[in-house]
Amino acid sequence: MIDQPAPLATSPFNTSSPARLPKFRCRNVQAYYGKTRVLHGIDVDIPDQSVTALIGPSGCGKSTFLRVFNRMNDTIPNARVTGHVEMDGIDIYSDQIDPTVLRARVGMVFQKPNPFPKSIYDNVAYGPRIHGLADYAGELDDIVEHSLRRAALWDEVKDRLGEPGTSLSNGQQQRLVIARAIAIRPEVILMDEPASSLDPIATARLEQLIDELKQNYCILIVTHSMAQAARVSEHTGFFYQGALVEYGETNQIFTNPVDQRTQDYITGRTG
Amino acid sequence: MPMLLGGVYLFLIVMAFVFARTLAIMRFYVPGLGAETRPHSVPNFHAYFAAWTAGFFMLLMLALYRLFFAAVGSVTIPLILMALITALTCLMSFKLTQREFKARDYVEGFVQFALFLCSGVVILITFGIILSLLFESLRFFEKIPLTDFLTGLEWSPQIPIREDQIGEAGSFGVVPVLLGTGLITVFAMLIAVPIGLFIAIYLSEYAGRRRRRVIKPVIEILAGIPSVVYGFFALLTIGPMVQTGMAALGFDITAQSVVAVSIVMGVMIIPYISSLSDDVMSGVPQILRDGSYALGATPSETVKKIILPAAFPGLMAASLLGVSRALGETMIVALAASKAANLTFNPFEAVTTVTVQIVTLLTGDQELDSAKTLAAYALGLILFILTLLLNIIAISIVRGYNAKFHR
Amino acid sequence: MTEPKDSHKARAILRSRKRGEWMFRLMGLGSVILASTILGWLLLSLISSGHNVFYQHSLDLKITLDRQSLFSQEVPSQQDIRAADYRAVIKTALEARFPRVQETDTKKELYALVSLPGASNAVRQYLSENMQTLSESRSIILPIPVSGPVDQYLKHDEGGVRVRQTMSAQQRIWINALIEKGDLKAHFNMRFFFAPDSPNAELAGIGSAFLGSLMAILIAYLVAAPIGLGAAIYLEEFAPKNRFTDIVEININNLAAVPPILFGLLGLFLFLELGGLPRAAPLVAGLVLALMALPTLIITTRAALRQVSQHRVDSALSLGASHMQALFHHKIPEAGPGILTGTILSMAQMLGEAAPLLLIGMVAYVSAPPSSLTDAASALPIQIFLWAENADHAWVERTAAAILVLLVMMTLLNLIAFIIRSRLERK
Repeated sequence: MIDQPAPLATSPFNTSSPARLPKFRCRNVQAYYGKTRVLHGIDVDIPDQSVTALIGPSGCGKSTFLRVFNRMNDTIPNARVTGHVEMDGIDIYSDQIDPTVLRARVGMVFQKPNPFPKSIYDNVAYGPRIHGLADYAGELDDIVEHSLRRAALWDEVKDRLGEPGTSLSNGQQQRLVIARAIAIRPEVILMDEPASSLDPIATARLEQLIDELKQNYCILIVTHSMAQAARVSEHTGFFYQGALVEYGETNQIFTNPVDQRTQDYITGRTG
Repeated sequence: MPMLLGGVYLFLIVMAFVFARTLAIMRFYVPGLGAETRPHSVPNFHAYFAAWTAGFFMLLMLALYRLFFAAVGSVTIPLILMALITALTCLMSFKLTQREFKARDYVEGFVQFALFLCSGVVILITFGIILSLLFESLRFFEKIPLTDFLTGLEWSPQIPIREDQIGEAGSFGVVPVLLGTGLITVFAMLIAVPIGLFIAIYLSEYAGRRRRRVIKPVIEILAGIPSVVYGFFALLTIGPMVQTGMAALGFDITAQSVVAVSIVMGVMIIPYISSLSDDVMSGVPQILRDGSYALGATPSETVKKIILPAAFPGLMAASLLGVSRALGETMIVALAASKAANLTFNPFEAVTTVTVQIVTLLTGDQELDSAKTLAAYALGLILFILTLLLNIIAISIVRGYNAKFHR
Repeated sequence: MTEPKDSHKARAILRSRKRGEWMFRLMGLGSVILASTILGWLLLSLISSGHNVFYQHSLDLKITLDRQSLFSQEVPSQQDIRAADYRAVIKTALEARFPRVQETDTKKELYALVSLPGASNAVRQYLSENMQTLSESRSIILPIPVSGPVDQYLKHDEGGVRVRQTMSAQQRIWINALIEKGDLKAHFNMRFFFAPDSPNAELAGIGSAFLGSLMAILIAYLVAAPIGLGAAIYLEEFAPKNRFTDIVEININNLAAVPPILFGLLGLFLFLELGGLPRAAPLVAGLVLALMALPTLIITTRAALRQVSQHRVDSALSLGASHMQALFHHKIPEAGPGILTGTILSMAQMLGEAAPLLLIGMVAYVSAPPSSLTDAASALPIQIFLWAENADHAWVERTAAAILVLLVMMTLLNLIAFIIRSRLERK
């Protein structure tokens, strides 16, 4: 059984990082859709093994910023990212970086649970298969079981791994998608409003899972719900019109924001 | 022999695939090393790389061998060479199959190149059409001067001009043929455009969802009927019917009259016009309609004053595409129109068309290189230029129109 | 309440506006009804003249086969059986059936009751199957096809002056005698579906044309579907915005509107004159149809690809799949039913296409079904075209029946496409 995400020996990312160095370091990150600038020079450090929440009104650029970390913006035609983004001290936008290798280390969970139209087992095994992660026949089974356990789904699905992933409930599907992301042994998990289509019970379940996962992963979560940000995150960044207005410890942001715009948003005057 | 070579070819490709895959699995997955040693590409990509390399070079060798040593005709030599290439590929694979080797990038690059070639086929087809028409037409104009062709008032390729002209037969004046085509097209459009337009208006402005669901498939069936069937209908039913009808009025006309052919061709084009126009009118923004209704206009006034003017370019394009279709339609006229040219504007006489002449010239007893055969290509060239112009105008109108409403 | 001064005028205007509205609506509805009526008329006239072909009459005739008069050898080979002439046998059998006929002219009328080539074929087939049993001389009862005019006469219930005129009084007496004896029987016309073309209407079938069409469509599908798919994927997913892409896009739209007959000229020049391929071959027909189908195929395939939601592709990408992997693992399988529907529909359209095939030599009379892709063959729409030029009533009926078969085939293909599409929608 594998408990720790294993670093890559052959990867340029591999550094013997001392404790509490930031996982990501962003300097003057700008993003454009065509000629429109949607991120106006973001400077921020994201700590490892903790949950960082990104909040702000719709269209403020928080989702675009989230997609900076796994270079998913590359897949959108006309989208362009400039500036400097480091992961463990390595520039992830350099020419030497293969986005597919980067994405194997930075998993992502989307707004709508979207399992592949395959069995539960094949959903989780998809990533390991394309990356050639399983060394021997039985290992894939181990990875699947381990990932489903980590996503707190194993007990519910262990007897029906062959059933299609789409047959699960919404909340289960979202956890399946998390298991699918965990299966490629990432170091970071990006979550783009993961609870927006879930009912309150499934949401509570998901938040509990996030709390468990943060011991091993760096988690970034974009959320509409300030209560959720307050519940699950250690750090919070407030985005407004493409700019990171305020960033700090969650407690401080919610109780004593420095910027007037943050205060207005949190108290419900804008949004 | 081709069966043998093909079989061996496939077998050797599979061999290369299996070899590279086994090698990659043996090298990459050493028990105890763990995930730190993850390769850039999974074994399958190394296998595809080897198999495709072997396949490509074997094919190249076979082509070259056929080109230069076709006379030898031996099977043994190609077989040995194929085995040699496979062995070399396996050797290469033995060196290249490493964790760092970016087999996936090469394989995907190759696939993308193949996809690129597929889209290039479209250009080749266009070039093929243009070149074949031009090439044969130029040979035709060596025999018959271009000016004679374009201005000649008589078209009778089957009849020799002079007694001593044995090979070179007939007169090739294209004017009556073009005129006949134009005449049939005009009358067909006189039927197709109003009816097609009214169907589109009814569909987009009057028919509710439920009626639309019934009417649309009916129109689609009309569009799906092959033109040879319409031709049969024209020949057997409409032609004689028009003839009898006119006889009752005291006129003696032929069953191949322009009117009869045009009625059927018009019917064939109705669904084409109506579906294109329906799309165009449905694309007119609802705001324009609402504005008109809010002022108390009736639906018909809204259609006449607001929708038709707004959709006019699109409707124009639909009609032009209809015209292009009518010009190039073959089977209806081949069955129901005359094969003899006739210089007339009278819609109750029989005329011939460009497409009828192409078919007639190329399906009779023909000798290659004769002026008759080549004339078909010259007619084809005219048809191509005409329809191309109409299509280009129509497409650019549609593009401008789309840019106006759907930014 | 006093009405405004000009209310009378206003009401008149309103009335005329309403009348205009009503007229306009009527024009629209009228056009729809007109188009539907024409469609109905077309289909009904096809069915009413075509349905007769699906059954045919035959005459149970007692035929005496004598080996010595038929064959010179003791044991005739298949070759001999095929080569021998059986017309005399049939004629003798007919004379035996009506022994009182003496005059040569009356005999000719008698012979005209049956289809002599058809009857010969029936005997030939019997002999080649039962060669051993033919010892010296034996009598058998064989169902032999009646001649075209007799078949027409029987089908039209002795009605129709035109049909009756083709029969002499004497012939009608014979026919009535045969009917009373129960020797004339109607049966399902299997021959029409499986027999090749023939100069005799009552023997002609669509078998070999159908086979030719099938071969051509298969070739067209195998060539056009992969190329169309590849081109669509490239244009939809990889093509950079540059001049080449622009040219390809314009080309596709233009090619989709190029008249079919020009593809025939291209095929004639490219495959026959330059390529040296045989005339009228299903292979060439398939290639020409493939070239013709390609533009529409690309357009529909691209539309199908565009309809797939990006969600799953994004998920795959976020898991570290490459663009190509995300495409082939998720997008293309999901667009699969849509792509399949599009390709089937375009093949249905190609099934009815005749113009380009005319030019690659598919007008010659072909009697035998094609046994390979390079044999001379016909195609269903071509067969229709050739038969349509015969004004004779028997041929008109055959043509209509062949059209019905073609339309049924096209409907079947559309139905398959419809089923695939609705299954996709249920998912």
